[in-house]
Amino acid sequence: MGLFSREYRFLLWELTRTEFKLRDQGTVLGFLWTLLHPALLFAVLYMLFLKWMGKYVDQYAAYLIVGLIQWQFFEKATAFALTSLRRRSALVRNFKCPHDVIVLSTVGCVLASYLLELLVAAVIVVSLGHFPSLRWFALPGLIAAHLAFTLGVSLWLALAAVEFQDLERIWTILMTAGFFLTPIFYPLAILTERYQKLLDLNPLVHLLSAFRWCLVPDYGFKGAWLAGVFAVGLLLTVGALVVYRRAGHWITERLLRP
Amino acid sequence: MSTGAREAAIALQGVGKCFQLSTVNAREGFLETLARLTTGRSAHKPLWALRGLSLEIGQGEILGLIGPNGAGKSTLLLLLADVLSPTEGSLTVRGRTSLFFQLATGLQPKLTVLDNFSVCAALLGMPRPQFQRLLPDLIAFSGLGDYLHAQFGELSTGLAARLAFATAIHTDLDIILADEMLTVGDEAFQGKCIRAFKEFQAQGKTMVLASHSMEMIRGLCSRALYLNAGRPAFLGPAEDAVARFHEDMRLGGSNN
Repeated sequence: MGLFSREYRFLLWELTRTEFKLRDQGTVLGFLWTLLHPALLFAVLYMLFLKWMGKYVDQYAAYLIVGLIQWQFFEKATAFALTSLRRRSALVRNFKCPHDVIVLSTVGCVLASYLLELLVAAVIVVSLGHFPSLRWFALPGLIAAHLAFTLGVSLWLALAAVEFQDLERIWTILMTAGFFLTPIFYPLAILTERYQKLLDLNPLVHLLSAFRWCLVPDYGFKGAWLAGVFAVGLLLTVGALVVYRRAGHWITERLLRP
Repeated sequence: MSTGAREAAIALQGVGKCFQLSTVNAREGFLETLARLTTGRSAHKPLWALRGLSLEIGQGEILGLIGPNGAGKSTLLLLLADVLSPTEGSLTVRGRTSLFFQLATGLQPKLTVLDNFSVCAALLGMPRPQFQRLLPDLIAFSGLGDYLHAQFGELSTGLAARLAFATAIHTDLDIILADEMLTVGDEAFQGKCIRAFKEFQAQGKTMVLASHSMEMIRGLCSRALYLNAGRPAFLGPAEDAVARFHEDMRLGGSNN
Protein backbone atom coordinates (compact mmCIF):
# COMPACT_ATOMS: atom_id res chain seq x y z
CA MET A 1 0.00 0.00 0.00
CA GLY A 2 1.74 3.17 -1.23
CA LEU A 3 2.08 6.16 1.10
CA PHE A 4 0.08 8.42 -1.19
CA SER A 5 -2.48 5.90 -2.40
CA ARG A 6 -6.17 6.42 -1.64
CA GLU A 7 -6.25 3.07 0.17
CA TYR A 8 -3.53 4.35 2.52
CA ARG A 9 -5.40 7.64 3.10
CA PHE A 10 -8.60 5.73 3.96
CA LEU A 11 -6.69 3.45 6.33
CA LEU A 12 -4.92 6.41 7.99
CA TRP A 13 -8.25 8.18 8.45
CA GLU A 14 -9.96 5.09 9.89
CA LEU A 15 -7.14 4.26 12.32
CA THR A 16 -6.86 7.89 13.46
CA ARG A 17 -10.62 8.03 14.01
CA THR A 18 -10.42 4.75 15.94
CA GLU A 19 -7.59 6.02 18.17
CA PHE A 20 -9.52 9.25 18.79
CA LYS A 21 -12.69 7.43 19.76
CA LEU A 22 -10.83 4.93 21.93
CA ARG A 23 -9.25 7.74 23.91
CA ASP A 24 -12.77 8.82 24.93
CA GLN A 25 -12.51 11.90 22.81
CA GLY A 26 -15.33 10.99 20.53
CA THR A 27 -17.62 12.91 22.86
CA VAL A 28 -17.68 16.51 24.13
CA LEU A 29 -17.16 15.29 27.69
CA GLY A 30 -14.22 13.17 26.54
CA PHE A 31 -12.52 16.21 25.04
CA LEU A 32 -13.17 18.20 28.23
CA TRP A 33 -11.36 15.48 30.16
CA THR A 34 -8.30 15.84 27.93
CA LEU A 35 -8.42 19.62 28.42
CA LEU A 36 -8.51 19.12 32.17
CA HIS A 37 -4.93 17.88 32.35
CA PRO A 38 -3.25 20.92 30.73
CA ALA A 39 -5.73 23.19 32.51
CA LEU A 40 -4.82 21.76 35.90
CA LEU A 41 -1.10 21.87 35.18
CA PHE A 42 -1.49 25.46 34.00
CA ALA A 43 -3.35 26.45 37.17
CA VAL A 44 -0.72 24.89 39.46
CA LEU A 45 2.26 26.35 37.60
CA TYR A 46 0.61 29.76 37.33
CA MET A 47 -0.13 29.93 41.06
CA LEU A 48 3.33 28.69 42.01
CA PHE A 49 5.42 30.80 39.69
CA LEU A 50 3.42 33.98 38.95
CA LYS A 51 5.09 35.97 41.71
CA TRP A 52 8.60 34.82 40.76
CA MET A 53 8.40 34.58 36.95
CA GLY A 54 5.98 37.48 36.66
CA LYS A 55 8.98 39.75 37.30
CA TYR A 56 10.64 38.54 34.11
CA VAL A 57 7.64 37.81 31.89
CA ASP A 58 5.09 40.46 30.99
CA GLN A 59 2.09 38.33 30.09
CA TYR A 60 2.85 35.28 32.19
CA ALA A 61 -0.54 33.56 31.76
CA ALA A 62 -0.37 33.72 27.94
CA TYR A 63 3.33 32.82 27.97
CA LEU A 64 2.68 29.77 30.13
CA ILE A 65 -0.38 28.45 28.32
CA VAL A 66 1.20 28.67 24.85
CA GLY A 67 4.38 26.91 26.03
CA LEU A 68 2.48 24.24 27.93
CA ILE A 69 0.31 23.24 24.96
CA GLN A 70 3.31 22.96 22.62
CA TRP A 71 5.22 20.85 25.13
CA GLN A 72 2.28 18.60 25.84
CA PHE A 73 1.76 17.87 22.14
CA PHE A 74 5.34 16.66 21.86
CA GLU A 75 5.21 14.70 25.12
CA LYS A 76 1.84 13.02 24.51
CA ALA A 77 2.47 12.23 20.84
CA THR A 78 5.88 10.66 21.43
CA ALA A 79 4.75 8.69 24.49
CA PHE A 80 1.60 7.42 22.75
CA ALA A 81 3.47 6.59 19.53
CA LEU A 82 6.26 4.78 21.37
CA THR A 83 3.92 2.00 22.45
CA SER A 84 1.73 2.10 19.34
CA LEU A 85 3.24 -0.82 17.39
CA ARG A 86 3.12 -3.16 20.38
CA ARG A 87 -0.37 -1.96 21.34
CA ARG A 88 -1.70 -2.69 17.88
CA SER A 89 0.40 -5.75 17.13
CA ALA A 90 -2.78 -7.76 16.43
CA LEU A 91 -3.25 -5.66 13.30
CA VAL A 92 0.30 -6.25 12.12
CA ARG A 93 0.07 -9.99 12.75
CA ASN A 94 -3.20 -10.49 10.92
CA PHE A 95 -3.31 -7.91 8.14
CA LYS A 96 -0.82 -6.78 5.55
CA CYS A 97 -0.93 -3.42 7.31
CA PRO A 98 1.88 -0.87 6.78
CA HIS A 99 3.55 -0.28 10.15
CA ASP A 100 4.03 3.44 9.58
CA VAL A 101 0.28 4.02 9.32
CA ILE A 102 -0.12 2.83 12.93
CA VAL A 103 2.35 5.43 14.24
CA LEU A 104 0.98 8.12 11.94
CA SER A 105 -2.57 7.49 13.13
CA THR A 106 -1.44 7.68 16.75
CA VAL A 107 0.25 11.02 16.20
CA GLY A 108 -2.76 12.10 14.13
CA CYS A 109 -5.04 11.41 17.07
CA VAL A 110 -2.89 13.53 19.43
CA LEU A 111 -2.66 16.20 16.73
CA ALA A 112 -6.46 16.48 16.64
CA SER A 113 -6.55 17.09 20.43
CA TYR A 114 -3.63 19.52 20.13
CA LEU A 115 -5.39 21.59 17.47
CA LEU A 116 -8.49 21.81 19.63
CA GLU A 117 -6.35 22.78 22.63
CA LEU A 118 -4.58 25.38 20.50
CA LEU A 119 -7.95 26.81 19.54
CA VAL A 120 -8.93 27.07 23.21
CA ALA A 121 -5.52 28.63 23.98
CA ALA A 122 -6.00 31.18 21.18
CA VAL A 123 -9.38 32.17 22.62
CA ILE A 124 -7.78 32.58 26.06
CA VAL A 125 -4.87 34.59 24.62
CA VAL A 126 -7.33 36.92 22.84
CA SER A 127 -9.43 37.23 25.98
CA LEU A 128 -6.25 38.33 27.78
CA GLY A 129 -6.06 41.26 25.37
CA HIS A 130 -3.64 39.96 22.75
CA PHE A 131 -5.65 40.46 19.60
CA PRO A 132 -4.88 38.53 16.40
CA SER A 133 -2.15 40.12 14.32
CA LEU A 134 -0.54 39.36 10.96
CA ARG A 135 1.79 37.00 12.83
CA TRP A 136 -1.10 34.56 13.21
CA PHE A 137 -0.69 33.77 9.51
CA ALA A 138 2.59 32.05 10.45
CA LEU A 139 0.66 29.61 12.65
CA PRO A 140 0.10 26.87 9.98
CA GLY A 141 3.82 26.92 9.15
CA LEU A 142 4.75 26.63 12.82
CA ILE A 143 2.29 23.78 13.34
CA ALA A 144 3.84 22.03 10.31
CA ALA A 145 7.34 22.44 11.78
CA HIS A 146 6.20 21.14 15.17
CA LEU A 147 4.38 18.22 13.54
CA ALA A 148 7.37 17.30 11.34
CA PHE A 149 9.71 17.23 14.33
CA THR A 150 7.30 15.37 16.62
CA LEU A 151 6.37 12.86 13.93
CA GLY A 152 10.02 12.19 13.08
CA VAL A 153 10.90 11.53 16.72
CA SER A 154 7.73 9.44 17.22
CA LEU A 155 8.44 7.19 14.23
CA TRP A 156 12.00 6.43 15.39
CA LEU A 157 10.90 5.91 18.99
CA ALA A 158 8.19 3.44 17.98
CA LEU A 159 10.73 1.55 15.91
CA ALA A 160 13.27 1.46 18.74
CA ALA A 161 10.55 0.33 21.18
CA VAL A 162 9.97 -2.77 19.05
CA GLU A 163 13.48 -3.92 19.99
CA PHE A 164 13.98 -2.21 23.39
CA GLN A 165 11.01 -3.29 25.46
CA ASP A 166 11.64 -0.96 28.42
CA LEU A 167 12.16 2.15 26.33
CA GLU A 168 8.80 3.45 27.58
CA ARG A 169 10.15 3.85 31.12
CA ILE A 170 13.35 5.48 29.91
CA TRP A 171 11.39 7.93 27.73
CA THR A 172 9.13 8.87 30.67
CA ILE A 173 12.21 9.81 32.69
CA LEU A 174 13.69 11.74 29.78
CA MET A 175 10.42 13.62 29.32
CA THR A 176 10.35 14.59 33.00
CA ALA A 177 13.86 16.02 32.59
CA GLY A 178 12.82 17.63 29.29
CA PHE A 179 9.95 19.46 30.98
CA PHE A 180 12.43 21.29 33.21
CA LEU A 181 15.02 21.73 30.46
CA THR A 182 12.51 23.53 28.25
CA PRO A 183 11.43 27.10 29.07
CA ILE A 184 7.77 26.22 29.61
CA PHE A 185 7.10 27.98 32.89
CA TYR A 186 10.26 30.10 33.01
CA PRO A 187 11.87 32.48 30.51
CA LEU A 188 15.30 31.74 29.05
CA ALA A 189 16.45 35.12 30.36
CA ILE A 190 16.66 33.84 33.95
CA LEU A 191 19.45 31.45 32.94
CA THR A 192 23.12 32.32 32.52
CA GLU A 193 24.31 32.90 28.97
CA ARG A 194 26.17 29.59 29.00
CA TYR A 195 23.03 27.62 29.85
CA GLN A 196 21.00 29.59 27.34
CA LYS A 197 23.45 28.49 24.63
CA LEU A 198 23.22 24.90 25.83
CA LEU A 199 19.44 25.02 25.67
CA ASP A 200 19.71 26.13 22.05
CA LEU A 201 20.37 22.47 21.37
CA ASN A 202 16.87 21.65 22.60
CA PRO A 203 14.60 21.83 19.50
CA LEU A 204 11.53 22.48 21.66
CA VAL A 205 13.06 25.77 22.83
CA HIS A 206 12.87 27.16 19.29
CA LEU A 207 9.39 25.81 18.60
CA LEU A 208 8.04 27.30 21.85
CA SER A 209 9.72 30.66 21.17
CA ALA A 210 8.23 30.83 17.67
CA PHE A 211 4.70 30.02 18.89
CA ARG A 212 5.03 32.68 21.59
CA TRP A 213 6.25 35.19 18.99
CA CYS A 214 3.19 34.33 16.95
CA LEU A 215 0.49 34.43 19.63
CA VAL A 216 1.86 36.69 22.36
CA PRO A 217 3.57 39.95 21.34
CA ASP A 218 7.03 40.99 22.57
CA TYR A 219 8.73 37.63 22.10
CA GLY A 220 11.35 36.80 19.53
CA PHE A 221 12.74 33.56 18.13
CA LYS A 222 15.83 32.42 16.26
CA GLY A 223 14.72 31.88 12.66
CA ALA A 224 17.78 29.89 11.57
CA TRP A 225 17.45 27.49 14.50
CA LEU A 226 13.74 27.05 13.82
CA ALA A 227 14.43 26.31 10.15
CA GLY A 228 17.01 23.77 11.34
CA VAL A 229 14.43 22.08 13.59
CA PHE A 230 11.97 21.92 10.69
CA ALA A 231 14.64 20.45 8.38
CA VAL A 232 15.72 17.89 10.99
CA GLY A 233 12.07 16.96 11.54
CA LEU A 234 11.51 16.41 7.83
CA LEU A 235 14.72 14.37 7.53
CA LEU A 236 13.79 12.23 10.54
CA THR A 237 10.30 11.64 9.15
CA VAL A 238 11.34 10.80 5.60
CA GLY A 239 14.25 8.63 6.82
CA ALA A 240 11.96 6.75 9.21
CA LEU A 241 9.34 6.14 6.51
CA VAL A 242 11.99 4.65 4.23
CA VAL A 243 13.22 2.38 7.04
CA TYR A 244 9.65 1.32 7.94
CA ARG A 245 9.02 0.28 4.34
CA ARG A 246 12.28 -1.64 4.09
CA ALA A 247 12.15 -3.30 7.52
CA GLY A 248 8.46 -4.24 7.51
CA HIS A 249 9.01 -7.98 7.95
CA TRP A 250 11.64 -7.43 10.63
CA ILE A 251 9.16 -5.30 12.63
CA THR A 252 6.41 -7.94 12.32
CA GLU A 253 8.73 -10.70 13.51
CA ARG A 254 9.87 -8.67 16.52
CA LEU A 255 6.22 -8.01 17.37
CA LEU A 256 5.48 -11.73 17.26
CA ARG A 257 7.74 -12.16 20.26
CA PRO A 258 5.90 -11.71 23.57
CA MET B 1 5.96 -30.00 -7.54
CA SER B 2 4.53 -28.15 -10.56
CA THR B 3 1.09 -27.42 -11.95
CA GLY B 4 2.19 -27.91 -15.51
CA ALA B 5 1.29 -25.54 -18.36
CA ARG B 6 -0.87 -23.03 -16.41
CA GLU B 7 0.87 -19.81 -15.37
CA ALA B 8 1.76 -20.03 -11.69
CA ALA B 9 0.01 -17.50 -9.43
CA ILE B 10 2.23 -18.64 -6.57
CA ALA B 11 5.70 -20.15 -6.83
CA LEU B 12 7.86 -21.30 -3.91
CA GLN B 13 11.38 -22.65 -4.25
CA GLY B 14 13.05 -24.23 -1.23
CA VAL B 15 11.12 -21.99 1.16
CA GLY B 16 11.85 -22.19 4.89
CA LYS B 17 10.77 -20.06 7.82
CA CYS B 18 12.64 -19.99 11.11
CA PHE B 19 11.37 -18.25 14.25
CA GLN B 20 13.48 -17.31 17.26
CA LEU B 21 11.82 -18.61 20.42
CA SER B 22 12.68 -17.07 23.76
CA THR B 23 14.18 -19.48 26.27
CA VAL B 24 13.92 -17.25 29.35
CA ASN B 25 10.87 -16.18 31.32
CA ALA B 26 11.97 -12.65 32.18
CA ARG B 27 11.37 -9.71 29.88
CA GLU B 28 14.54 -8.53 28.19
CA GLY B 29 15.75 -5.22 29.65
CA PHE B 30 17.46 -2.33 27.86
CA LEU B 31 20.99 -3.50 28.74
CA GLU B 32 20.28 -7.12 27.78
CA THR B 33 18.93 -5.97 24.40
CA LEU B 34 21.99 -3.80 23.89
CA ALA B 35 24.28 -6.73 24.79
CA ARG B 36 22.40 -9.04 22.41
CA LEU B 37 22.68 -6.55 19.56
CA THR B 38 26.37 -5.87 20.11
CA THR B 39 27.60 -9.40 20.90
CA GLY B 40 25.09 -11.35 18.81
CA ARG B 41 24.53 -13.71 21.78
CA SER B 42 20.87 -14.40 22.35
CA ALA B 43 18.66 -16.32 24.76
CA HIS B 44 16.55 -17.44 21.83
CA LYS B 45 16.55 -20.79 20.08
CA PRO B 46 15.68 -21.24 16.43
CA LEU B 47 12.53 -23.13 15.46
CA TRP B 48 11.93 -24.03 11.81
CA ALA B 49 8.16 -23.73 11.36
CA LEU B 50 8.46 -24.57 7.68
CA ARG B 51 11.33 -25.95 5.62
CA GLY B 52 12.17 -27.26 2.16
CA LEU B 53 8.92 -26.33 0.46
CA SER B 54 8.90 -26.05 -3.34
CA LEU B 55 5.54 -25.64 -4.97
CA GLU B 56 3.66 -23.92 -7.79
CA ILE B 57 -0.01 -23.01 -7.61
CA GLY B 58 -1.65 -22.24 -10.93
CA GLN B 59 -3.92 -19.31 -11.70
CA GLY B 60 -7.47 -20.27 -10.72
CA GLU B 61 -6.39 -23.33 -8.78
CA ILE B 62 -7.77 -24.18 -5.33
CA LEU B 63 -5.10 -25.80 -3.20
CA GLY B 64 -6.00 -27.46 0.07
CA LEU B 65 -3.63 -27.25 2.99
CA ILE B 66 -3.86 -29.99 5.60
CA GLY B 67 -1.82 -31.22 8.52
CA PRO B 68 -1.89 -31.49 12.31
CA ASN B 69 -1.57 -28.44 14.60
CA GLY B 70 1.89 -26.89 14.37
CA ALA B 71 2.50 -28.36 10.93
CA GLY B 72 3.24 -24.93 9.43
CA LYS B 73 -0.09 -24.22 7.68
CA SER B 74 -0.60 -20.76 9.19
CA THR B 75 3.07 -19.88 8.70
CA LEU B 76 2.74 -20.74 5.01
CA LEU B 77 -0.38 -18.56 4.68
CA LEU B 78 1.40 -15.67 6.45
CA LEU B 79 4.32 -16.03 4.03
CA LEU B 80 1.99 -16.04 1.02
CA ALA B 81 0.21 -12.95 2.37
CA ASP B 82 3.60 -11.18 2.67
CA VAL B 83 3.03 -10.63 6.39
CA LEU B 84 6.23 -12.64 7.00
CA SER B 85 9.23 -13.16 4.76
CA PRO B 86 10.96 -16.52 4.21
CA THR B 87 14.22 -17.18 6.05
CA GLU B 88 15.46 -19.17 3.07
CA GLY B 89 14.34 -19.89 -0.47
CA SER B 90 12.34 -17.73 -2.84
CA LEU B 91 8.66 -16.96 -3.04
CA THR B 92 6.65 -15.26 -5.80
CA VAL B 93 3.00 -14.28 -5.47
CA ARG B 94 1.35 -12.72 -8.54
CA GLY B 95 -1.76 -10.75 -7.67
CA ARG B 96 -3.50 -9.03 -4.79
CA THR B 97 -3.97 -11.16 -1.73
CA SER B 98 -5.10 -11.04 1.86
CA LEU B 99 -5.60 -13.40 4.75
CA PHE B 100 -9.08 -14.68 5.49
CA PHE B 101 -8.45 -15.69 9.06
CA GLN B 102 -8.14 -14.09 12.47
CA LEU B 103 -9.40 -10.90 10.85
CA ALA B 104 -11.69 -10.11 13.76
CA THR B 105 -8.75 -9.98 16.18
CA GLY B 106 -7.57 -6.73 14.59
CA LEU B 107 -10.88 -4.99 15.12
CA GLN B 108 -11.99 -2.78 17.99
CA PRO B 109 -14.40 -4.25 20.57
CA LYS B 110 -15.31 -0.83 22.00
CA LEU B 111 -16.41 0.63 18.68
CA THR B 112 -19.73 -0.06 16.97
CA VAL B 113 -20.25 -2.76 14.36
CA LEU B 114 -20.70 -0.04 11.71
CA ASP B 115 -17.38 1.60 12.67
CA ASN B 116 -15.65 -1.77 12.52
CA PHE B 117 -16.98 -2.43 9.00
CA SER B 118 -15.08 0.64 7.77
CA VAL B 119 -11.95 -0.19 9.83
CA CYS B 120 -11.95 -3.73 8.45
CA ALA B 121 -12.45 -2.55 4.86
CA ALA B 122 -9.61 -0.04 5.23
CA LEU B 123 -7.34 -2.72 6.69
CA LEU B 124 -8.11 -4.99 3.76
CA GLY B 125 -6.99 -2.23 1.40
CA MET B 126 -10.44 -1.27 0.10
CA PRO B 127 -10.66 2.35 -1.10
CA ARG B 128 -13.34 4.49 0.58
CA PRO B 129 -15.63 4.92 -2.49
CA GLN B 130 -15.71 1.15 -3.00
CA PHE B 131 -16.48 0.60 0.68
CA GLN B 132 -19.33 3.13 0.60
CA ARG B 133 -20.74 1.46 -2.50
CA LEU B 134 -20.47 -2.04 -1.03
CA LEU B 135 -21.61 -1.31 2.53
CA PRO B 136 -25.25 -2.41 1.98
CA ASP B 137 -23.98 -5.69 0.47
CA LEU B 138 -21.56 -6.22 3.37
CA ILE B 139 -24.35 -5.71 5.89
CA ALA B 140 -26.72 -8.00 3.98
CA PHE B 141 -24.10 -10.76 3.58
CA SER B 142 -23.06 -10.62 7.24
CA GLY B 143 -26.64 -10.56 8.49
CA LEU B 144 -25.61 -7.94 11.07
CA GLY B 145 -28.19 -5.34 10.03
CA ASP B 146 -29.83 -5.39 13.49
CA TYR B 147 -26.53 -4.91 15.31
CA LEU B 148 -25.00 -1.98 13.40
CA HIS B 149 -24.97 0.35 16.40
CA ALA B 150 -24.09 -2.29 18.99
CA GLN B 151 -20.57 -2.46 20.36
CA PHE B 152 -18.51 -4.95 18.37
CA GLY B 153 -17.25 -6.54 21.60
CA GLU B 154 -20.83 -7.38 22.62
CA LEU B 155 -21.28 -9.71 19.64
CA SER B 156 -20.77 -13.45 20.02
CA THR B 157 -17.60 -14.90 18.46
CA GLY B 158 -19.59 -16.27 15.53
CA LEU B 159 -21.31 -12.96 14.79
CA ALA B 160 -18.04 -11.04 15.20
CA ALA B 161 -16.29 -13.30 12.69
CA ARG B 162 -19.09 -12.66 10.18
CA LEU B 163 -18.20 -8.96 9.99
CA ALA B 164 -14.60 -9.56 8.98
CA PHE B 165 -15.43 -12.47 6.74
CA ALA B 166 -18.19 -10.61 4.88
CA THR B 167 -15.85 -7.65 4.30
CA ALA B 168 -13.01 -9.89 3.12
CA ILE B 169 -15.31 -11.74 0.71
CA HIS B 170 -16.26 -8.43 -0.91
CA THR B 171 -12.66 -7.22 -1.24
CA ASP B 172 -11.27 -7.35 -4.75
CA LEU B 173 -8.55 -9.99 -4.38
CA ASP B 174 -6.79 -12.20 -6.91
CA ILE B 175 -5.58 -14.77 -4.39
CA ILE B 176 -7.57 -15.85 -1.35
CA LEU B 177 -5.82 -17.37 1.64
CA ALA B 178 -8.29 -18.89 4.08
CA ASP B 179 -7.87 -20.80 7.32
CA GLU B 180 -10.73 -22.78 8.84
CA MET B 181 -13.45 -20.91 7.00
CA LEU B 182 -16.03 -23.48 8.15
CA THR B 183 -15.57 -22.35 11.74
CA VAL B 184 -17.08 -18.96 10.87
CA GLY B 185 -20.68 -18.46 11.94
CA ASP B 186 -23.58 -20.89 11.92
CA GLU B 187 -24.60 -23.42 9.27
CA ALA B 188 -26.53 -20.88 7.19
CA PHE B 189 -23.59 -18.48 7.15
CA GLN B 190 -21.16 -21.27 6.33
CA GLY B 191 -23.39 -22.18 3.36
CA LYS B 192 -23.14 -18.57 2.15
CA CYS B 193 -19.36 -18.71 2.48
CA ILE B 194 -19.10 -21.95 0.52
CA ARG B 195 -21.27 -20.44 -2.23
CA ALA B 196 -19.04 -17.34 -2.28
CA PHE B 197 -15.95 -19.52 -2.57
CA LYS B 198 -17.50 -21.47 -5.42
CA GLU B 199 -18.20 -18.16 -7.15
CA PHE B 200 -14.54 -17.22 -6.69
CA GLN B 201 -13.66 -20.54 -8.25
CA ALA B 202 -15.90 -19.79 -11.24
CA GLN B 203 -14.25 -16.36 -11.58
CA GLY B 204 -10.88 -18.09 -11.84
CA LYS B 205 -9.47 -16.78 -8.55
CA THR B 206 -6.64 -18.66 -6.92
CA MET B 207 -7.29 -20.00 -3.43
CA VAL B 208 -5.29 -21.68 -0.70
CA LEU B 209 -7.58 -23.19 1.93
CA ALA B 210 -6.19 -24.55 5.18
CA SER B 211 -8.59 -26.73 7.06
CA HIS B 212 -9.06 -29.65 9.40
CA SER B 213 -12.30 -30.43 7.56
CA MET B 214 -11.28 -33.16 5.12
CA GLU B 215 -14.79 -33.09 3.66
CA MET B 216 -14.31 -29.47 2.62
CA ILE B 217 -10.83 -30.11 1.22
CA ARG B 218 -12.13 -33.01 -0.87
CA GLY B 219 -15.18 -31.01 -1.96
CA LEU B 220 -13.46 -27.79 -3.01
CA CYS B 221 -9.83 -28.57 -3.85
CA SER B 222 -8.31 -30.35 -6.82
CA ARG B 223 -4.92 -30.71 -5.13
CA ALA B 224 -3.82 -30.59 -1.51
CA LEU B 225 -0.54 -30.10 0.31
CA TYR B 226 -0.12 -32.17 3.45
CA LEU B 227 2.36 -30.58 5.85
CA ASN B 228 3.80 -32.38 8.84
CA ALA B 229 6.18 -30.81 11.38
CA GLY B 230 7.02 -28.01 8.96
CA ARG B 231 7.89 -30.35 6.08
CA PRO B 232 5.88 -31.14 2.94
CA ALA B 233 4.75 -34.73 3.44
CA PHE B 234 2.58 -35.04 0.32
CA LEU B 235 1.43 -32.88 -2.60
CA GLY B 236 -1.05 -34.23 -5.10
CA PRO B 237 -4.73 -34.97 -5.65
CA ALA B 238 -6.80 -33.91 -2.65
CA GLU B 239 -8.24 -37.43 -2.17
CA ASP B 240 -4.74 -38.94 -1.98
CA ALA B 241 -3.42 -36.20 0.34
CA VAL B 242 -6.35 -36.75 2.72
CA ALA B 243 -5.83 -40.54 2.60
CA ARG B 244 -2.10 -40.09 3.35
CA PHE B 245 -2.87 -37.72 6.24
CA HIS B 246 -5.41 -40.16 7.73
CA GLU B 247 -2.92 -43.00 7.32
CA ASP B 248 -0.20 -41.05 9.18
CA MET B 249 -2.60 -40.09 11.96
CA ARG B 250 -3.63 -43.74 12.36
CA LEU B 251 0.01 -44.79 12.51
CA GLY B 252 0.84 -42.58 15.42
CA GLY B 253 -0.10 -38.94 15.00
CA SER B 254 2.12 -36.13 13.88
CA ASN B 255 5.88 -36.15 13.97
CA ASN B 256 5.85 -33.09 16.26
